[in-house]
Amino acid sequence: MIEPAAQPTPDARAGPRLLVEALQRIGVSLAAYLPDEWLEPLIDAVERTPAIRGVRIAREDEGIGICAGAFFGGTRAVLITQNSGVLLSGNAIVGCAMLHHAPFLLLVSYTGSISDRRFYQINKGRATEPVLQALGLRYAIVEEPRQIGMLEDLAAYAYQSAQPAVALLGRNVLGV
Amino acid sequence: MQQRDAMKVLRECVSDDDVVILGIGSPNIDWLALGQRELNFSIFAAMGLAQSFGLGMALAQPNRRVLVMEGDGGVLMSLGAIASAAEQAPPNFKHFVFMNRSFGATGNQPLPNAMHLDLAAAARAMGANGCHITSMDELQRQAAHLIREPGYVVVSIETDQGVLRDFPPAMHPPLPIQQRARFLRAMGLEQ
Repeated sequence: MIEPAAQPTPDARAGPRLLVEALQRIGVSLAAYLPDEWLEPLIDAVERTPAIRGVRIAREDEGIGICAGAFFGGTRAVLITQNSGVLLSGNAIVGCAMLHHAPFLLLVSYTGSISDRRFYQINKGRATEPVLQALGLRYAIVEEPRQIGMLEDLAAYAYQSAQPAVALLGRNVLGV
Repeated sequence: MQQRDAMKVLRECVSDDDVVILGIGSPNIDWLALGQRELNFSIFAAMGLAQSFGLGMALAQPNRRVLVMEGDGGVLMSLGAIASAAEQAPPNFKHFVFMNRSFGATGNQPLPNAMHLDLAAAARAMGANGCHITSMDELQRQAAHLIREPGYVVVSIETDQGVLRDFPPAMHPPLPIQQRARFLRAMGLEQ
């Protein structure tokens, strides 16, 4: 019998707030995002942060263009999306962001990862890391709130390498 | 109307401080053929991304005009991005769409339902200001106003099909790494 997924601990519910605090330390002032069940608390926390301008988008690859354009305008931006958005945005990532050397962070809900337990996300989860590797994007898996400091390392990596970098966020860190 | 002639009219109304973002294909080639500007930025390999790049730029640089020039194929590919831009509506953002109703860079194959597309109307349907320009007279009358008057607007311009598919050999665009350095320097930004 399959056990129901564990409920998030109080510590895990702090994740979205801690993620937004990390974004502010990184100097992010623009966030493009498309909703996802797992991302709702994070997007809600972003929308309650006046220092970060939120941009709702209709399709994830728009966010790649917005973040790249913001970089060339002197603004640090982040794209918040489900991993489906990464799978959709392959051409935008290589043809817009990477070709033009535009660094920014992608905060990506890692649906279909082991803790997900939804059958319809399985293939998405399995494809995500190989696709990131094939694109040549550096990524870190952030599962627990205590690992959120990795975001600052990842941002440093992105801006020093002049390429985007990806944080794959598990459900515990997203507080869902 | 030839695209390059339309661009000449727009070029006269663009000031040195304006950022001009160029979508892939002939808009890129024709605009760069009109002369170098430090604040041109060419999107080389991502069709349909120029307007989103422009939106990010316009939000990051609210005190600078940002113009996007791209083909109708790219806009058709990412129509929803107009809704995203219309919600933000940066007053410094001007989106010019050249409507040759074809995929020019690959040999002028027609866009789907090419002759019935009205992207300015599509922009209006998504809550943006949209206008369609069909003649040189009209463009000359309106260009300065469309560029200089604050307000997000999508301007589609009816143009003829072109013949160029790629940059002519004599006209090498900068490599992206060179463009990056030049553009950031011209913007006064740290690299």
